[in-house]
Amino acid sequence: MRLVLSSIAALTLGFGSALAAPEIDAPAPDFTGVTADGETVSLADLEGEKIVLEWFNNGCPFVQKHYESGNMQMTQEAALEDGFTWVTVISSAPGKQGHVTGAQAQEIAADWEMEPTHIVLDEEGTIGTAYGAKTTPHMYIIDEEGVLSYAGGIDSIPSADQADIEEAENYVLAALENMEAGEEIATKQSQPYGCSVKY
Amino acid sequence: MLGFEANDREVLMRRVLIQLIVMCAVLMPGLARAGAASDPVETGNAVSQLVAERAGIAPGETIRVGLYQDLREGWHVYWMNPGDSGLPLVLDWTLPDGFAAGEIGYPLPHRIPLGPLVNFGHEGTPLFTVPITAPDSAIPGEPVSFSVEADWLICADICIPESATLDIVIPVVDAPAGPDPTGGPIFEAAAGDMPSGRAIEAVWFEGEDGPVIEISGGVPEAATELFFFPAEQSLVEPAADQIRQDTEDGVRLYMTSSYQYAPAEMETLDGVIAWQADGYEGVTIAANKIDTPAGAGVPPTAAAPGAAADADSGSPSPGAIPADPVAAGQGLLAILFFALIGGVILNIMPCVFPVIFIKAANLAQSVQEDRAAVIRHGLLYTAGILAAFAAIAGLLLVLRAGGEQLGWGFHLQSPVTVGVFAIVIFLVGLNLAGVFEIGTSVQGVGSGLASRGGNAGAFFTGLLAVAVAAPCIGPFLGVPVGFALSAQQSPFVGLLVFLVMGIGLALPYLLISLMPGLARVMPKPGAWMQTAKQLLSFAMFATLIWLVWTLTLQAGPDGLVMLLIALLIVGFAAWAFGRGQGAGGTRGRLVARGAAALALIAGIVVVAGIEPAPRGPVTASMPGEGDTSQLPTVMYSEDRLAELREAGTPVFVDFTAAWCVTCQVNKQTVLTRAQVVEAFHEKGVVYMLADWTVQDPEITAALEAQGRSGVPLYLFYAPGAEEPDVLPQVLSTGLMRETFAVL
Repeated sequence: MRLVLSSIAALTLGFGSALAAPEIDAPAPDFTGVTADGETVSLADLEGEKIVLEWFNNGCPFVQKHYESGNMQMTQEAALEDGFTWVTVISSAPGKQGHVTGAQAQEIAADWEMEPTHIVLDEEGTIGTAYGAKTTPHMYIIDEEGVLSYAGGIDSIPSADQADIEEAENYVLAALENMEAGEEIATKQSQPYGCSVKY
Repeated sequence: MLGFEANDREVLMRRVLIQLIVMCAVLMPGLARAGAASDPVETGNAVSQLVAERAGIAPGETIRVGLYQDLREGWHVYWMNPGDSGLPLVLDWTLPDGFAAGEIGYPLPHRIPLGPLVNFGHEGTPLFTVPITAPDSAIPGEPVSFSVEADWLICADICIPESATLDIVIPVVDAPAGPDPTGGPIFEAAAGDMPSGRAIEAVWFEGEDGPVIEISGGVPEAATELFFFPAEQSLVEPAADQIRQDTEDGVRLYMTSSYQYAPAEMETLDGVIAWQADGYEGVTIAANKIDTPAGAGVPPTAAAPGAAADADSGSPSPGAIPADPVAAGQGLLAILFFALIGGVILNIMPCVFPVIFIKAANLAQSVQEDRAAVIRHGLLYTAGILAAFAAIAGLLLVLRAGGEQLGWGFHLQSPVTVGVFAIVIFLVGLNLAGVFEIGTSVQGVGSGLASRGGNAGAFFTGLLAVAVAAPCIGPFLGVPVGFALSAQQSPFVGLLVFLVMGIGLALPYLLISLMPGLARVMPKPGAWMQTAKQLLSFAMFATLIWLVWTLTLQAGPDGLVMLLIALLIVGFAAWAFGRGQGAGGTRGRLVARGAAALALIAGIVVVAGIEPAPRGPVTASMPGEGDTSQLPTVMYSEDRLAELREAGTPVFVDFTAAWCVTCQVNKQTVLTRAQVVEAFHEKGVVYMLADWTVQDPEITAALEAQGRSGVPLYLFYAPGAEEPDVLPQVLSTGLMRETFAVL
């Protein structure tokens, strides 16, 4: 009986481990989620497509910084033009900041002039955990082969000040350009910054 | 986490002190003008002020100025490495020509967990210091102005960027000045929150999972909750456990690397190492790289759950999100299964004995009822149990969400609740003894009323079973209860676990009542039933002894007297009520019932007035040298436990409570047996008593560190063992012998 008990204890206490980041240049973790319009989307469904994942929380000042300035929409437009699928993931738990219903998510997207291919509602944090998403925004790029090619911040200056955007290097745009040119991505990983994901 | 309270109190006192000082300065305008400090600026979640340590600055001298912030309760700002998210403070200085500002000196960082993430930051009243150097050409007699634009991110569970522009004017003086009347005391009070400048020998090497830091000397022997905060972000995972290994002359911490970790290019590892000893302390270190010592690359044990989780934060565990959701689902199923089994087994635990007697009386009564009524009673009993579990667990979850340090059985930690239960049990006893009847009319047994009384009785028995008896943790239940109450569990999952436990508790009776032909098994109704009922009343009075004893431990002799008075009044109420039932006229009956109702209310009012007695010196005494008749007892404290473990002394920790009958049975039948007491002395095991009879946050926290949330819990720390051996809830002398056999 003690053996059983201790194994159960190990199972439950094991939850206390850190969020581990997925490996760069390795296959991206699979995910399946429900979108704002009630459909199911998974990485397997998107096989062969280049993907940008964006962690989002409409109440977070850092997310607001990049949307009010138009920086995120501009990045998104560039990605869509390059044939990327853009997946906006909301991992806020029910009752936490940024938790929204599908309808609310669509309303925000319309108001903020967002054009994501999918908005995935990840209220249990499953996808966030699989990707080790720590902040909003936290950005990931997956190539056609399903390989995780970039993980990190949207740009190089961690602040909530819109004025810094001009000075900052937009790592996602830079990676898109590298990929378009068939080059190795210069910065494959950077410090994500922002609000904590509200798991 | 443990010892947090004392630390907290210290912080609070310091905070009050600082505010008093600031207030005095503001109230004395002359003094305030004399002091160099900016006006406090309020920004919504923080009040910020620029202060100077000294009253003036001499040419060529370096003095410290500080950004002093009073943060809104529950909000934090960030250390230089903010951890998983957040931003550190940014200061942009505007200084007179020739003056120069240095780097920010941060207070000791604290771990601030947010779900599975961990931030490094500050709460309360942090002081961020900056050295400012005057040029040699500064002219004494002229005041200079320092202006700073400060930007910081302040977060509770949500984050808000705030900023303020602050100025101070400081006189340039001939010779170094004394302390500033405003800033001096603030700097002095904050000194204890800063990393100490003590030199400490530290090196680091590459481990299998990340860097390993090795410290020799400088850290007190009794230090616990050792944690290394790297200065640079994303070198190590902030939320990962840091596994401690004690070496001959120091200690190693094994860390888990994060993406910035590039060992080949790193020469030094900078940061702060912090620990709990006499409060929260820490030292700034710059560790040089060494080659990995042979065999030292792998941490000592694969996982020491909770080793780092119980650092200085208030939350029991940093992570909630299971790494693998499928396993978590299976985990929940397993937990529910154990909750069910544990609930069934609870029926034969000593804790539930009193209720078994009531249930037996009910069953005896049921022989004269038809099958439909028996089934209905079985279902109502189950409903009563579930209602009580839902109510108590719901209340507990709500209180815990509100930040109370409470565990399962918390309601029995209040002497008033114990008093009320004593009254209820006393009334049940008097009822069984025949002093009064429930649900019978004056004319005798009206069958309709009687069965209604039976319905209410069955439900009530279920309620009582949980309220009085279930707070003990039985076999299989430790983990489910701990799981249900862990801070990261959704309250619905928590409630679900308790309800499944309730179904388990009710199951045997439910099955019996659903069994056809029960009446055939039971003896024929007759005069024996009356005798059986009256006999069972003594079981109730025995239960009363236990409750009275529990209350005496909680509320002292004063509480005891009040309870006895309440029982006297309630006894009178029962008698008056019973007399009324026997009385002939309607008027007599009304008078008797009125008197009974008044007396009952009076009794409850008296009980409600019982106050917990301050805990006097408890019975913890090391028996004299050579006295082997008593357990070698010390009272539980986390520091003491750490000391004993450090010294290699085996320790047996008994988490117990007066209201936990299972605990008392274990104590009487095993722990205080002569042969067991002798074994303690023979093997040199210290008996550490963690008494949870009244609320004690330190003990609640210790239980939670083991993933538990109730008593009994028995832990045995063998010398040098990383983790304690967790003993079952029911002890035996054989088991104790076996446990001590390793010594």
